[in-house]
Amino acid sequence: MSVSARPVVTVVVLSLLAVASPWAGVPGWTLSVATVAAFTALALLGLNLVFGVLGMLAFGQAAFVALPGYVAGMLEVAGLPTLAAVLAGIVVTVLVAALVARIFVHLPGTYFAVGTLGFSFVVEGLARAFPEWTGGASGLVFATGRDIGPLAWYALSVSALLAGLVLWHLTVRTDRDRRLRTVRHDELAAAVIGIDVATVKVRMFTLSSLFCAVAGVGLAYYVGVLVPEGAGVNRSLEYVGTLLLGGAGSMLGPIVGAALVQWLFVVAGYGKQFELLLYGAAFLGAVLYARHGLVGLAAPIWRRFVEPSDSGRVKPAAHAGGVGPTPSPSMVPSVASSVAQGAVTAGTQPAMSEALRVERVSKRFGGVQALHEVSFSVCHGEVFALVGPNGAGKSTLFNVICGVEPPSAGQVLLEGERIDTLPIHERASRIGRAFQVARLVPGLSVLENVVTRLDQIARDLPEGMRRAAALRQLEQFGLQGLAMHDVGVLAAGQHKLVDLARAAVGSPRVVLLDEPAVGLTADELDHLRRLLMELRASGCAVVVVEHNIAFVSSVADRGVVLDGGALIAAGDFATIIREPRVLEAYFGVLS
Amino acid sequence: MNLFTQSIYSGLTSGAVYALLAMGLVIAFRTTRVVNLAHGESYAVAGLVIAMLDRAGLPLALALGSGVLIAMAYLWAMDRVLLRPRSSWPVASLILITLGMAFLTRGVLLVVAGVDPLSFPRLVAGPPLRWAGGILPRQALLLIVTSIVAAVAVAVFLGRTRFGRQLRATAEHPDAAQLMGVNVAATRAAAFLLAGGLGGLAAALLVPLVPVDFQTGLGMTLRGFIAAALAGMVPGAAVLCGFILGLFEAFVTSYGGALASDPVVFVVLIVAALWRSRSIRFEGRARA
Amino acid sequence: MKTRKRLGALLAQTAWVVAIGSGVPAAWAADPINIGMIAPTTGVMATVGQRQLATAQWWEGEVNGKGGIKGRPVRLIHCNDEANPEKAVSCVRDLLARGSVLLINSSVTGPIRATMPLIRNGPVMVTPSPNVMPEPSSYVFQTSPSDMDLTRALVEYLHRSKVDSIGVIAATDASGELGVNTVKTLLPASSIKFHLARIDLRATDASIQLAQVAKSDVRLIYSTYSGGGAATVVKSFNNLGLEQPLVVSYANLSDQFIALIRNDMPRRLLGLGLKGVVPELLADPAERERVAYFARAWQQAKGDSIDQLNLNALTLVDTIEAILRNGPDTADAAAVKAWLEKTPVRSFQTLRFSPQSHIGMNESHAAILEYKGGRWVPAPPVQ
Repeated sequence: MSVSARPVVTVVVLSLLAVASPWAGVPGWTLSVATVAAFTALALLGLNLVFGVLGMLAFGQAAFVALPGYVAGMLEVAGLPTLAAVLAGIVVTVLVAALVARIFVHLPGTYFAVGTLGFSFVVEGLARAFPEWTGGASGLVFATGRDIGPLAWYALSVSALLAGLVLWHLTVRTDRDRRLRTVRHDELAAAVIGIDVATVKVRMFTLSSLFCAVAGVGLAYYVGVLVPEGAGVNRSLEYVGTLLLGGAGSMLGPIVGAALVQWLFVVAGYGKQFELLLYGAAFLGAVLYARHGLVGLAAPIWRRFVEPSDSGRVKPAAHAGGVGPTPSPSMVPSVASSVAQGAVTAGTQPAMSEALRVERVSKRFGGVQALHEVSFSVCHGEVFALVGPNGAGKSTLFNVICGVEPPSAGQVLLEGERIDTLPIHERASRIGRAFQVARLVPGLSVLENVVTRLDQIARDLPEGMRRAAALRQLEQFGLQGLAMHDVGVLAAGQHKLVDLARAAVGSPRVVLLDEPAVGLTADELDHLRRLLMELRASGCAVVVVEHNIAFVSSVADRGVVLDGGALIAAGDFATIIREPRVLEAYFGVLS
Repeated sequence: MNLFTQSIYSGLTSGAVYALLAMGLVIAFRTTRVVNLAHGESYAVAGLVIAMLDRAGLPLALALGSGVLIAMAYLWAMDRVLLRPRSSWPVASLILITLGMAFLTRGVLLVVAGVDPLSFPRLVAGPPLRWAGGILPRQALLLIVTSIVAAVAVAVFLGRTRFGRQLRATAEHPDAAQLMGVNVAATRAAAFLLAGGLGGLAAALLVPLVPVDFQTGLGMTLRGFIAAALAGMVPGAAVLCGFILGLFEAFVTSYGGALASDPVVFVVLIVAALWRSRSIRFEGRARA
Repeated sequence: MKTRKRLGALLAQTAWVVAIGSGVPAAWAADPINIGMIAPTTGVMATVGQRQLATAQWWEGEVNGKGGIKGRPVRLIHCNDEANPEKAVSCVRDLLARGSVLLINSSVTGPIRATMPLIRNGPVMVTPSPNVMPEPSSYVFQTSPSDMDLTRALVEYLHRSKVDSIGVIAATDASGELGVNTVKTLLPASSIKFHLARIDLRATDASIQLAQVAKSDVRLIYSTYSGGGAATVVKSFNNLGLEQPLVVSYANLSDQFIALIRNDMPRRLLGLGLKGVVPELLADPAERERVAYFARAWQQAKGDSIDQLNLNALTLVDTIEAILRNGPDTADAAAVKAWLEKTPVRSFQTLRFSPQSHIGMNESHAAILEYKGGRWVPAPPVQ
């Protein structure tokens, strides 16, 4: 991944090297092989956007490589001039991809894989089924295009690839990269912090098809023939394998993969029966041991000898010496003073007005009644506890409030406005949520994890101000010492505090906390308690699901007890947890 | 010959194989949450091994037994060596591992068994059965009956035995299952052995009618997966959907032509996947 | 571009050093004559490509063993296109870049057609595929009877057998498409009814297709499907216990294909073949002798008998040899083309190209053969 953030200069130098490569005297690396490799690399760059960056199992990308060629070729036969036909081919492909993306994007991983694979089969089958238009199994032969000469073709392919690299760089530049990585790592968490996951995926998939379409139309005219297998599932899987080999997720991976595989095809042409074996072994090896492919393997060497001062990347634990991993209690008082000021506070709402109202909410899963007519309301500036035994419906209720699940009946109102029909990401600016197991994105720093939420809910602010606001939030939470650490190196308790900081950044009206106390040390518990008090003081409505009754009693003002999906008690928390029904339902189970 | 009747017979024959493959795929999926893209390779491995042993002069029964055992060992080893040690990896990475394994297996089969399709003699000889204008080889009847019997046996096994309950528990909550004393490792091993056995059985019965070559596996995986996906990854329904898929494919080929079969079958797959997954989001995590 | 040429020369030298180690007598100082050959030696058409490649390699050894041509050794450069049109195109590019002066294309219809635009300005390419009907203006020469001619031989056989209704199975590939066109043109004109079904190349069961065509009045079934995959049709034919004679396509008259279907022989297996496969069908004793000589030499070299694919390849290399020995300099592709159009080529049968036709054989070179007792014999009529 680290290569994607390399300065443009490196890329330009490498590209110039690539341009010169056909004259470097590598046996078998001829102009024609290099041309095909450059076009293939461009298509892989497109695949990389969805497969490498977003982690979507796009197993049908060959369809988008073959489709533009077919459209252009057929239109040319129908009498359109070549250039118009080529443009039409690209446009049609991108439109089809946008449509396909809209249909498939909601599918969970495995189904997405099989759906795209199926699409690949359909395009291949259609290409074979209408020979009078597509040339059928014999292939569509392109009469024009060969005459511009091999050098011009090579120049064209390399220019297309360079343009692709620029577009790639713009697409995954820093702030977008954060968002894409969050989507890749955890779609639910991404949606909860305000990322419109489906739209991100649709856009990336569509953009990816543009890369594939330009590469595909180039390949079709250069090679001069297009066959149904070119759209098929075997070709699609070959693309995935080649990308994995080169390095999925990085900018150079597609180039390395395409060049290597094209070259191997030429030099290994005589040991055909071993080609598949080698390919399979390399593929499996890459998945198992080199998740960033050859580029990933080469990166450390590259950094060591070529770029000794690699800047701009987060070095895990590099700053660990400065501040201890656990914030010291002495830092906490400063939080109180800073919380009341700055862009990140919610001081505008009058205290004790209603923030969240849940009205007769029911939720059924098939035959299971997870929630039954649950009603309560939470005010600004209070900590509200939601307790009950396992399976009582607490997590389902959180899901309904923040939009992961629609309620089967009932309403959710936020400051009087009905929100239960809004998609998750549109509730995110007003509802923050921290998870039972913190869902942060490893590979990004603590600061970047927090900024990602601000990227969504404070889009108008420039990057620098978003970073400053996030840093201020971390300071308030006493976590500024960890700001530059990769979240992968944090301890479990720190994870939860960072998750909490992320949920509370950007002054949401309501913060939902799912078992914030689990896994925290005694010191961290104290810290958490103070943080909740600060949040309450800022006017935020804090809803806490918690099994640690001692802890929750020490922070909660009011609360409800859920059992079997229904409310069995509501009111002042200290009172309700002493009610016999509650003791029986709740503590009876616990003991 | 009556095309309608023949379509039913052909559909049931291939459906029986899809059913066996779908069942194995589902059982492995339910213990690991991974769609094994190398599943169909167990069919190819068993078929080619049996054919080669048969050519080498081994008695057919011995060859058949060895082939099925090797298919079982193949899937078991894949889980044991590649998947189980990485069970904390994201599902997508695990799927890619199985895809890599499928590629590698094809490469090995190509080197070991060559490019040509291979076959071996049938278990039941004799002229084919002729009913209602259709022709059904005796071997195909054996295959269909075996598939149904195996389906019932597996359903009983999963529903009525302690192992079956453990398997389902592992599928729902691996961590909870472990806490409750289920031996997750043994359950996984048993699931993959069972899956390999079903794939091997399908090969042992179908390859005498339909030769197998090194690249047969992927097609088998896909057909098995379509049936499994249609069935919502439920073993019992997978068997039914296997037969439905076989019949559907046969009728599309009969009345729409071979050229129509791939587009139509896969459009149906896509629609089925959309329909099946309409309530599943975030890989089911939202339900947790 | 200078650098490219130097690189090419370097490559040629390297290849030459390699070639010396593998069969070409080292004593020669002269540059080898490079002949590029495309043959699918893996994939579904491997049964077609492997034997033709072996034959061409045998010829290479034979020619060089006798002192080469005009004092120069012949060097055969093979490229495996896996019967894939895209790979065939890169094969041709590669072979031309490596200095091939003539091309042999032993692939199948789709790949051959895809390569044809690449040689619009030469060099001459020879191919044995009956499905390729090159324009007389092109540099492509086809050394077999055309598919139409072969099917005419079939029609003649059907008339002789008083069969007026047949079933036809065609693959969904390019050869299949062409086969469908041929039967649709020819059979109705010859008042023969036919039932047609297509089969996917990757299909493993053909019983539905057979059910579609094996109607009660059908007395013979013709499979135009070429390559190893056609074994599927034979297997299903046997599974269904069909009684009719089964005719397999021109490209399937090979020992390798027979080996594939050994356990599933239909009651009568017929094939569209060259008369050379059954030498007694050849009228000219010199032609019979040429086949006999080839069969002996092949037997000696490979311990194996020849089949139709050997003969196909023989027509290719005989054409190449005729050009190299008697034709104009291969540097002038147009001259070579014109020479071939007016000079008959002596192979086991004489190939005659003309400025109007680049197809070297015709209906009179073809016959319906039957596989009986381990060899091909002239087919007696259908009872």
